[in-house]
Amino acid sequence: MPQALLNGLVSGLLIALPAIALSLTYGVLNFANFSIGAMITTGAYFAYLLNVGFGASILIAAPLAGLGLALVAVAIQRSVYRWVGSDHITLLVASMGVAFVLENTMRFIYGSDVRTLDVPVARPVQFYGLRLNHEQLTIAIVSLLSMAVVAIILKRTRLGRAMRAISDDAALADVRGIDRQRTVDWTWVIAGILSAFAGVLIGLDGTVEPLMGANYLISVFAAAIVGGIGNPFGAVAGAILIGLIEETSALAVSTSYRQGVSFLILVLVLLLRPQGMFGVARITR
Amino acid sequence: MNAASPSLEIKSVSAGYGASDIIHSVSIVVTGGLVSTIAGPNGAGKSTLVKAIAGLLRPGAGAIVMDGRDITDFSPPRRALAGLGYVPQEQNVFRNLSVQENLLIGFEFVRRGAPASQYVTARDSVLSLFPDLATRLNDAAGTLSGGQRQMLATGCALMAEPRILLLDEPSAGLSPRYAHEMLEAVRAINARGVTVLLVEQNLVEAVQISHNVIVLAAGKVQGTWAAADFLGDPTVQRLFLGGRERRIAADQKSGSGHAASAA
Amino acid sequence: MISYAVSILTFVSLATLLGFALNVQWGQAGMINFGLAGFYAVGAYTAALLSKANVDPIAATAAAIIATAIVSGLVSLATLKLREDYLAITTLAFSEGVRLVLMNEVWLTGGTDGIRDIPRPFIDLVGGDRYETAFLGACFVLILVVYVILERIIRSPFGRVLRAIREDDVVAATLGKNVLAFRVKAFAIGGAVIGLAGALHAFYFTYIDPSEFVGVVTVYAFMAVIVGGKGANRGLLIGACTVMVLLEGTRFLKDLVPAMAAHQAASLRLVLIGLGLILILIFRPGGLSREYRLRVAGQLHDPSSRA
Repeated sequence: MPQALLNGLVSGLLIALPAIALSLTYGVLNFANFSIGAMITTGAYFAYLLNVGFGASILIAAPLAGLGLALVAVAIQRSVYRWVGSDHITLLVASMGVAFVLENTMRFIYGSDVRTLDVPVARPVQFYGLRLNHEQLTIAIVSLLSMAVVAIILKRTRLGRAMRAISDDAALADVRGIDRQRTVDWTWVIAGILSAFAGVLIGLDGTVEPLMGANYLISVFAAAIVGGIGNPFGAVAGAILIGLIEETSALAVSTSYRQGVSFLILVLVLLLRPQGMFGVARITR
Repeated sequence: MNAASPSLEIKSVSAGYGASDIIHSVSIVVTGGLVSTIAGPNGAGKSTLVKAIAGLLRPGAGAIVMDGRDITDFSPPRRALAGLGYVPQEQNVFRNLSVQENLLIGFEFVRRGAPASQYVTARDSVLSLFPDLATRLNDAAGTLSGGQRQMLATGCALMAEPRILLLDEPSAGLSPRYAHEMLEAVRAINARGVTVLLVEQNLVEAVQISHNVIVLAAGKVQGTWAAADFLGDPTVQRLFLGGRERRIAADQKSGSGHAASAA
Repeated sequence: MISYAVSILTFVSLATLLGFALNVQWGQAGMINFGLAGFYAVGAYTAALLSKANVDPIAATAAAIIATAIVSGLVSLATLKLREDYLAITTLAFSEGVRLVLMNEVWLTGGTDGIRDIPRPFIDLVGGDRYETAFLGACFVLILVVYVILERIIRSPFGRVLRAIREDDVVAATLGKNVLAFRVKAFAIGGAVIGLAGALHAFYFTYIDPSEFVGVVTVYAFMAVIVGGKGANRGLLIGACTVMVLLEGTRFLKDLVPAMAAHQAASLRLVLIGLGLILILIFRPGGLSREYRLRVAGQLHDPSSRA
């Protein structure tokens, strides 16, 4: 059980990154980005290209993949979301289309076989009878660092205040002089970097394949919703909770139903407390 | 500030939502350095006019000119940068951000690049105007009372050092004490040189701090009065003053004095 | 060639039914169903399993319709009071859940091997050669029947209330209408049509497995509804058919570009479908977005949904 909790914690930290990205784009753009799974996948493939294709160390490939995905995300914002209008339903459906394009472009280029990143192998760490393998340690470190950076941006920079202001009241943000287009672009940059990191971290476990991000879609959404969608800090708490529940449920239920567990939690939360733990509620019709 | 040249001109503006217009060919001249109040009954189109001036609603016809610049096509951020400060009636603060952060936001986007010392000066100036806020700097704006939110919203607009301040019903929903404080603050703001355009239901108080009153009814300008003459005018009384205002106007006629401050 | 045309048209018919269903759920009632494929699977598997248990095909179809309708109603209950985004993720998650069950509960569903040799209805009556054409004919008839029924529903007071709710449910609620009940019913009605399509799918292909019920199906339906004009069934017929036929034509892609491997052509096709959805959204949103009550001054702006 304690091992399951530890695994769950790490798993939660992993999910936290795209959950934060989802919350940020939801807050600033007011729509649920269904392409988050595909973004994770694309980020992982970018890293694969640099790491295995060009032989770069994963330590260089990962940040570059982040930048690459950031650029792609901004490009998509400017070529798709901006033209589709600001109705949140239209954006939602458009993100579905974007997910299709991204995922299948990766599949077109790389096929459906599972690829592996070229990372050095290391022995697991043991303490107090618990085991933490190298991938898990990396996940924890990268995730915590990323979260810290995002927290600093949100709390202490002008950009962060702009994002929080738009999230709170977009029309008022306009009136107070905030440049929405710029803030939106930077939000996608952050979301792109976080998603790419998540993709690399998932890939560390040995599997880079076209559906890797989609497999996490429901867990990520569940995490963001449980934490209170639109609240990036809540998303972290939600992600850890989801991670813990998924891992501990694996003790009782077959692992292939992992996403099913998230689904159930999602439904429960929506029925009982739709604004999640820390929700900044804009959730009712 | 050249009080003779108009700061804000609304030229034959028509605007509405959807197919029909709510305001029709409205023309108003807001003189620099003065306080002008737009008054009118409910449904007159006051909030539509305010939104058009603020840039939240695009007029179907007409133009809005500020200090000689045509700002009709300016988005709200551009208008803020051009010197227009806007205090909406509701949803006028960022509820999840602290009071301090709200004020900072009011400053840092319009006055991008200004040194921190100017921020501190501006903030202190706002806090001296609204001392209630000083004790609540770290509280989330959503936890403030209605009156305090109104003050915060006004303070945020002031942080940008606007040339023209547009206030939409600043005393609406406030207790008499807060309403009075609010309108007195407006008087003080004007005394610092800011041109003020006010939309108000609370006529008696508003008239006391104004120089001009413009009446809007059924989407059209019905007339402009000097504030001193406003309450006593029979046309005005016919248009929409209720019992209380009539009594006060009657009192005033019999000589209890009227205190419109000079520019 | 003819049999190929018949097969495309049959596929188009199924997609049209799905489009009708989504039109009720989304076009009329404003409820986003991203998990359409999952409900489709429920219909197909119900019909298939019953049919293989020697249940009469009409009864099996009826069961599929009812089962899918009930399941749809239940799923929609979870998020009725919330914004559409929540129904979107819930239906998507449901669809994933269905797929998981289909893949793992081998004892019931045959797992990834699926269900084979589903008996074709009335095959002894019609005979082998002309069966597919006859089946297509039956599909056309059913499309007509569903069309008529749905049109009556759309024009009925029920339909009007649905549209009122879609536009502004606060107003509708104050008028005393039980908004929740209406929405559940609308979703269930859509579900019934999806169930019908699912049953037809099972009978036509005689073999189903979980991999058929994936996102593409949902995207097709969305494209059909958007092109056809949200809420308008007639436009849906024409628009959807055009879109479907064009898209199905892309299956020929690999013949055009011989250098491409089969799997690559399949992926490229899906990329084009995704692009198609995006382009349709950009260039023909007609009726997608809620009417803005404010004309906006030069910015892309949704003033109605903040704080």
